[in-house]
Amino acid sequence: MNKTRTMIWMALAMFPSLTSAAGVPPECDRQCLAGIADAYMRALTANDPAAAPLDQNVRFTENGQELMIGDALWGTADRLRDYRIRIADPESRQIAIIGIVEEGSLPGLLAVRLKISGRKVSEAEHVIARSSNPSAYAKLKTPRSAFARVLPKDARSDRKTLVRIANAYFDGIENDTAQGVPFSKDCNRLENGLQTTNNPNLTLGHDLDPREAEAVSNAAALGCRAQFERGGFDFISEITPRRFAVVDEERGLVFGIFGFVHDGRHMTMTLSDGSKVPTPTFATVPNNVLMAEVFRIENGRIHEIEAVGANVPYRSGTGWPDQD
Amino acid sequence: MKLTYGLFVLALGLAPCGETAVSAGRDCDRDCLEDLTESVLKSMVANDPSRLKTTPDVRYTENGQPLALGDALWATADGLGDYRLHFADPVSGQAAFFGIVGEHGRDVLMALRLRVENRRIAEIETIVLRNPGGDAGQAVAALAGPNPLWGQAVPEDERMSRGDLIRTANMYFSGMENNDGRGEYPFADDCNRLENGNRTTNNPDIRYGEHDSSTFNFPAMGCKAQFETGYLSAVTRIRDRRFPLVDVERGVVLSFAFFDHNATVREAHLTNGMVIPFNLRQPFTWEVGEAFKIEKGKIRFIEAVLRQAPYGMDAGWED
Repeated sequence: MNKTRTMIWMALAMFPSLTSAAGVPPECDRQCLAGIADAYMRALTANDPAAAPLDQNVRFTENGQELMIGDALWGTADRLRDYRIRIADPESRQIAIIGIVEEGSLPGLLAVRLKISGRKVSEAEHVIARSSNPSAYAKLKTPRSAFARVLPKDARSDRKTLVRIANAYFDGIENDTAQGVPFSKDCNRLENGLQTTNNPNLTLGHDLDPREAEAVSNAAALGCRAQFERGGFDFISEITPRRFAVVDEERGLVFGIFGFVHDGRHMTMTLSDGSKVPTPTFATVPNNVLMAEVFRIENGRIHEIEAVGANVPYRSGTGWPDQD
Repeated sequence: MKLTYGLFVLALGLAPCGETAVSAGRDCDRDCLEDLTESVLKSMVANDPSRLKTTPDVRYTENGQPLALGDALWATADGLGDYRLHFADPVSGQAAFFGIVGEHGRDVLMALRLRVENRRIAEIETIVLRNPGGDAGQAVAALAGPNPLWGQAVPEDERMSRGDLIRTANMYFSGMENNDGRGEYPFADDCNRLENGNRTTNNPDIRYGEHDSSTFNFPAMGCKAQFETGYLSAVTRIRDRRFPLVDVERGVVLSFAFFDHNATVREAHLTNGMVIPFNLRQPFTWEVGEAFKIEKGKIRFIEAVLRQAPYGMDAGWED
């Protein structure tokens, strides 16, 4: 009997979509996921793990490091600002939240991924971009409304297609090409709260030398596709690993955790028109950015991108197994 | 931490003949170890690891991350500074180096450790402190040279055992972790400490924190007086302590450790009754390579390379 049961479980594990395809409601639907995430965030800012719906074997990482629940942000989070993006995925029983947390007077842009087992949190992953500037993220009041919009059925893509499109974006960065990356015309990207597309006035909050400032401004002035065509992403050596974790087909959202590798080998980059520009200073030394990133895809095209990036040691992992 | 310390004591207890247990590198003496260290430095600056004498399964990390030989600083180094501090432990086949490496013309500070097996390099561990757009190695580069104490042999009849040297170095970490000013702190009266090239003892020119430094200025004090204040209570855990290199002849221990600050300590309650507020609200960790010069059971000099790491960072190496 044990054997039979094992085989059934194996079948379910191998074909997770069988359950929903057969019309069986998921173990924890969208509303259930949101409720658990809210309870988690409340407990987090109360610094009270006992108040969170945690599985007894919960695994927790913050910026790629495995820690005890109660440690790190669990000990320091004071309050959440209102800014909130939700990506709910009943099929994989995961939900991701992007928000802004305060530790004392200092804000951090926070991405949280939760996996739910039996209505308890069994995996909790934080990526937090902490700032030493109390006024950081002050302009982030309300997320772009499209993230919450339910797509008409004919504008949706299936799970596999959504992941393939987000992955094409990373291939485009690695290969410095817009070819095969389906951008919409109105595509825009926020990185740690800064709009890095269609924004000629982008300032990075610190002084750059004039040549670098010019290059940053020239790149940021372009739209998503034009940036890829310009070819200014040479400072990103690789994007690995790529873990597409949470997919919301109804809203066209893909959320994942990605390793942006900067090998720091080159002080200048050659653009596709042959001109040379300085490598962004932060990428002139070997380092990584651990990136939590969400894509909104409608009618097969990328419309919104929003990223939370934390500086981590060169080629450090995400703290979780890579995806196949 | 208790567990780690317990394991450490256990390990010493289990290996009473520690000298034979770690004698694998004995065929490589001090000069041989320094030569191999220099060969790594040259190989880094040449951006070419191909001619290095390594074991087939050599393991290399930079800042705790396992990498392919030739990656990271190996690909970006373009010069060597004048400051070169060598450490050697022929008994365990360990060598180490603190010094300046050029990277795109900027000074970066590196702590390097090697383990040697049959005159081949089996392990390469580095901590690299960088400041993109600036010189992280500035303070070290400005020093006239390493403290001559590092090169001085301890008179034979005063030499301490490996175990006692490690125990003394470990008391530094145990005294700092959750520092309350009431522990046993084995410092010599003339002890000083360099951190990334900055002297952080007996130095009234630097200040910590935002409190009134006319009444309390930690860096102006000596090693022992500092630990006796209880000010270092913001260091909530010192973990993954390793003591891979012990030089009995010179009384030197080279260690690696992680100083976690969980950022929940709001103020220091000093042993003199003062209360000093901390502004620390964001958890962080120092990844540390730290060398101790120890004589007659007391720490005389400390030199450390520290870089800020993600809070709770995985060590990348085991004992």
